[in-house]
Amino acid sequence: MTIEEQLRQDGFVLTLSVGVSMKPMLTQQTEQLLIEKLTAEPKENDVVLFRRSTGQYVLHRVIRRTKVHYRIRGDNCCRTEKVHPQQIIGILKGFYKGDKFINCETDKGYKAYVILWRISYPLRFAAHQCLRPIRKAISMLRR
Amino acid sequence: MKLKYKFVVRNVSGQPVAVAVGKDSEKFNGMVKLNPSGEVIFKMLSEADITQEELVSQFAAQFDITEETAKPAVLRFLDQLRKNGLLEETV
Repeated sequence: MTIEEQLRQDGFVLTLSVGVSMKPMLTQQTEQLLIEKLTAEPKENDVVLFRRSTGQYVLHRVIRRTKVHYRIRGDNCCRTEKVHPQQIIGILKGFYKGDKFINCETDKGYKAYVILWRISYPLRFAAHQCLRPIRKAISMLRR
Repeated sequence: MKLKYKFVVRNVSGQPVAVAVGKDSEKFNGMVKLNPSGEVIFKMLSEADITQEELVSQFAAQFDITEETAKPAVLRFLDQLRKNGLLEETV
């Protein structure tokens, strides 16, 4: 059963984080994520589950809503992608870090993290751009 | 017998739900919705390698019922776990 079918059937899904695109908030196979079926329009800063045209499911943060689509980006990514509303199937309600449940709607620490992470984006983007040629050179030397 | 994978049980709006954790999540990436008695059996199986008889006996003690009453419920649940490939027979 796909995650989309589970959401349709149960209204929620509890699953483990996969990948590094939402670091430092979510790390590979560490947090258990509570994702709920989408019942209302996602807001800015919500973390949503959407399906890419390739069929891949992705959990990233809403940066902005335009008239026709959402601009969405992973916390550990520099690239923002356009996602149509019909591609979005779920919303992250919260996650377990160890035994503590972090509620995305009410947790103050989480909200502070979101503000800090959004504000620091230009700085992180600039650092990423500066380090890119260095990383490229290192990877070429390794070959 | 014991559970094939390492699970953690969370309570989602009153519903116990188990998910595989760590590397085991690559082998089993779904979630297991449990009822209260299923949650008890699931936790017993995840804590130790246990025989069917011990499971029935501990389950009966936990719910303060006779082993005869407990046995069908335990066997039904074990059967479900087996069908879904979640149980490892160790004896």
